[in-house]
Amino acid sequence: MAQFAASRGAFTPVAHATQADNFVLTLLTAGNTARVKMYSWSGRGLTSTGFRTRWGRVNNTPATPTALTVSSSNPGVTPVASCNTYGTQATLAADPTALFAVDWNVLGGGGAIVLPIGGEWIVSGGSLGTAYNQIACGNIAGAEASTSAYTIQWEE
Amino acid sequence: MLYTPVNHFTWQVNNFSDTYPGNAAATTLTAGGSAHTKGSDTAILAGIAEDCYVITIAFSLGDTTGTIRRQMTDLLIDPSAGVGVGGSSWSVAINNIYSNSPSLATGSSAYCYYFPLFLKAGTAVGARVQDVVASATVRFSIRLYGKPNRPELCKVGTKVQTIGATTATTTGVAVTPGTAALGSYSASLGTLTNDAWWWQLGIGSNDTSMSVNRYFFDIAHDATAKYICAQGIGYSVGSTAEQAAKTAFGEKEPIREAPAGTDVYVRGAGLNAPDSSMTAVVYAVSG
Repeated sequence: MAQFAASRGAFTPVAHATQADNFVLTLLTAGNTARVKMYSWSGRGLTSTGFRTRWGRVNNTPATPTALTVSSSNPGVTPVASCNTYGTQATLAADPTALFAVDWNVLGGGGAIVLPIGGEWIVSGGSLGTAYNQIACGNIAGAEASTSAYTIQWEE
Repeated sequence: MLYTPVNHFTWQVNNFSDTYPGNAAATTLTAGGSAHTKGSDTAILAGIAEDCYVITIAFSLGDTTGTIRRQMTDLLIDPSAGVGVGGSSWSVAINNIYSNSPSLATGSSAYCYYFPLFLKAGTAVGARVQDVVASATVRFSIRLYGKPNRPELCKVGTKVQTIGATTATTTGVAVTPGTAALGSYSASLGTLTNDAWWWQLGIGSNDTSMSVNRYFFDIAHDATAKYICAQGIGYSVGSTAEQAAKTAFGEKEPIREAPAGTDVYVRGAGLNAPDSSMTAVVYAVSG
């Protein structure tokens, strides 16, 4: 079935205890769901710098979205979910609560996680602020300019 | 020997107290005060305790002797209700689920659907119906399944597209079954907006004197090749009192992958001459 991807490349994250605005996967249509199939992080820094990145369920109601460009694996299919950043940023529960979190080094560090079939992270559609309709990625540590990238792929 | 496992569900909930769908415990929906208008949103299930992977629906008691009765029902959800809490803010999960004189009288076994669609725990479920007849009623039975023992083997959909429904007249796209032979394909019911893999069919007629009959219908996609998506879905008229029933499955699971952008068609065969003005609506599950 149709899969989609959004990415931040040569990105400058904002390190924050709870705000997570690397990207926010958002599904606003009730009755629809989307499944996260894969996500990745990677660095191309030239100095050793510790990063900590989290992926988790949004626990507030972010506002003023700016959509990231979404790529589609299947021709002719428009995604229902979107991937955004927000003027009023999405927040996650305090660290270490998360769907997944990793400490890594932007000096060549990186990884990709493929979620198992049946074990995908599901976002369930609903108006903004509805529980489980957003998954966000953000950095607790690591704000180096233009040296890290974050990608998410999902299925609808 | 290596064992190939299968999935089954270890949780379910329904609105008819685990009795058969004809029991009065099922929910009676009332159509709007004018023909072809939706009635009020009706709560069916409070916020469910587990994630739902399959929705089965059966319509019954929506028949009247000598009267054309067709319904289109919206399956409503409130994703924010919370476990055990009734819904209050409804959204449509599946729109215009078609039924035609659905009955549980002798010779009829309800008008059934099966949707592998995910609903998260805490979602409340409701419904609303329109009918050809103002303020008419239909009984709505629903059962949800969850807690798969092998979730990796449990394919579940993310959304449902309704294709071919005309709400202004509570009808679908014309299909003329053959008599003791497969009829020609209908015109296109519409175009898939998403890749789809699971198929359901609704059949209606416009006949005040329906004839006892047994029908089998196929769903196909692609204007040229007519790839079969579902085959031999049973629809029957069980008596001369305008009482009908439909199966959710045909000869096999109604599974075939079809890409967005292709059109959908229906054909059918009846044992005897078909009722007047038969129509079809298709439901395509994606994800």
